[in-house]
Formats: sequence, C-alpha cells, structure tokens
Amino acid sequence: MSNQIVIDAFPPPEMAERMEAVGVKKANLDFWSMFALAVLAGFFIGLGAEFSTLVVTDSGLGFGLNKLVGGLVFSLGLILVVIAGAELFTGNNLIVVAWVGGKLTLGQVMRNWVIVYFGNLVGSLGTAMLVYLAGQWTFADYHVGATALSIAAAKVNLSFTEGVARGILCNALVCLAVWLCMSGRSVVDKILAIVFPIAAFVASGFEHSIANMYFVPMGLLLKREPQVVAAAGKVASDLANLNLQGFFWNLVSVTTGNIFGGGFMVAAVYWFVYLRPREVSGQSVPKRILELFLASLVIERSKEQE
Amino acid sequence: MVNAYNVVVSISRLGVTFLVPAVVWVTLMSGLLQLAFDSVRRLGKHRAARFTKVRAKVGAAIVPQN
Repeated sequence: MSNQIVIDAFPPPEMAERMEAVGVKKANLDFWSMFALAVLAGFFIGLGAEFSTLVVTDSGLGFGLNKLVGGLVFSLGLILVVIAGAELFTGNNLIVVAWVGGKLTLGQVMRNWVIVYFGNLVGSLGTAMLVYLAGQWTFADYHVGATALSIAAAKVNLSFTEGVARGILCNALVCLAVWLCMSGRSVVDKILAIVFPIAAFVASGFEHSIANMYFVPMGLLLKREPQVVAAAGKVASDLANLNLQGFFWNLVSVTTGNIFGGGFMVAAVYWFVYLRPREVSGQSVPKRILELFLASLVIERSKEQE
Repeated sequence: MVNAYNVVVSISRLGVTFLVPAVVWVTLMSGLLQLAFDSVRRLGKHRAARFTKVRAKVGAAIVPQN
C-alpha cells in the first residue's frame, strides 16, 4: 500500500499550507540566488511577451480569437517560471500568506519583493534589448514592430485608475494560476493550471507589471524606427506619452494594482479561509489583521531573544 | 436609480484610485522601514561579533581611543 501512486490533486487547505511553506522558503533565499532567479523570471516573461506579440501580428483572426491566441502563447512565460523555477514578483505576492500567518516578517517579505522586482526589471530590459538587436521587429514588413509599438503606446496612455484596476484583475488571475499549481502533482497538471488564467488576463487586456517591463521598453526602442511608426500608422501625438516618465507612472499604477490583487485578494483571502487560527475565529477580522500586522513587526526581535 | 448608480460608481472609483494605493503603499512603507531597521540591527550585531573575535585573537584589551 505504501507504493500506491497518488494522482488526486491537493485539496485547497493543503494547497494553502504548501503555499505558506513555499513562501517561507522563497523569502529565506540568499541575495544572489534570489536575484539570479528574478533575472531569469524577467527573461521568461519577456519571452512570453515577445512570442505573444509575434503571434497576434496579422493573424487574420477576429478580435476575440486573436486576443485568445495571444494569451495562450503568453502562458509560456509563467510555465517557464513555474516549471523551470524562477522568482517572479507578481507570483511572489502570494508570500503574503506566510506573512499574515506569522511565519515571516513584513521586512522579510519586502526584502524578497524589492530584490525580485529589480531582478525582474533587469531580466525584462535585457530581453527587450536582445529582441530589438535580433531585428525580430522587422518581420512581416515591420508589422511585428508595429504591434509592439501599439501595445506599448496603449499601456502608457492608461489613466492611474485604469492601471490600478487592470493591475488588480491581472494579478488576481496570475496568483490564481500559481495557486492552482499548488494543487498539481505533475508538470502536465501545472501547465494546465497555468494556461487558462494567463490566457484570460492577456486576452482581457489586464496589466502585468513585469510584462510591461518588456513591452514598454520595447516600444521606447521602436519609437525611433520610422518604418515601424509608419507601419503602426501612428503620429507623434499618439506616442507623446511613450517615454521614461510614462513608463514609470505605468509601473507605479500597475504594480500597486498587482500587489493588491495578488497579495490581498488572493493570498490574504485564502489564508483567512483555510489557515487562520481557529481559536481566534470569533475575533473581529480588522482586529485580527491589526494584531497580525503588529506581531509581524516584533517577530524578528522575539526570534533573536530565543 | 441613476443617482444610486452614479454614487456606487464614484465610490468604487475613489476606492480604486485612493484606498487601494493607500493600503498598498502604507504596507510597502512599513515593510521597507522594518527591512531598514532589521538591516541596521544585523549590521550592528555583525560588527559587535567581529570586534569580539578580533579582541579574542589579539588577546589584549582594546582601549577605545577618545
């Protein structure tokens, strides 16, 4: 009986426990491992974004199907992150589970997020530069470049509220994809768990901060290519916001939304449902959250005293 | 009915524009502050440990220079 092969998916309470353990492990990685894995994740997401840009160019499909195909191929990024192993900022918003569970301090969570965010930025920028140097944007008579330019221009023209709202929706789906992976036992399980949430967020036009670290710099590079601007049918006013300032404000709004969508709407909610200590379940939720918040600030000190 | 609709939309818009960023940024700032304090404390402990190690190696009392 001990050799019995289990093929059932992990049930949600076990998924929550596994996520908490993974969160602790991620937060305790040393700096260079964390940074290297974060650069890799930026590279992987950049590859997914590049693949998606290529596929949706001149596909001949209708609006919805074109978006769906773009979303399906974009899944490559998160599949590489989850299966090959990498540190992605948006997915790592889920380590909030370990923080609210008192397994990590807020400082440890922040260390992970800061290192991973900048690692992702380095990886995404590097990928954008490589793809630019590869001249892939000249394909289909510069229409691949035109697609990339249009995507970037649309992103920097979002209002702050739109950026936050789309960021929330995006990372709720991304974190749900990562969450679903916790139920899987095999590579196939995990791939299937990833594809639909990711396709849904890309097709719906939601905003992913790390993907934007590839899309917007790519647009910044292509803005200087007259053939691409002509192929995209853009005039100077359309590209007025496509600059470093536009890139920065897009990242501010989208990252804010991503943290809320992943950390608060998925991680904290699932912690509340499956992992909150039952003996205090009668306590009011805001009081418990405040207690956890204050406890996390002193947890490091009490560990030192032990 | 139209007014109620407008009120709900306005409140939601305010929530997404101000409340969500406020919650996220306060959390981020608290975390960054805690990270900074932890780093300073760790650095202090590291220096103290190093000082003790050096003192033990030298085998003599190190008198601080005023």
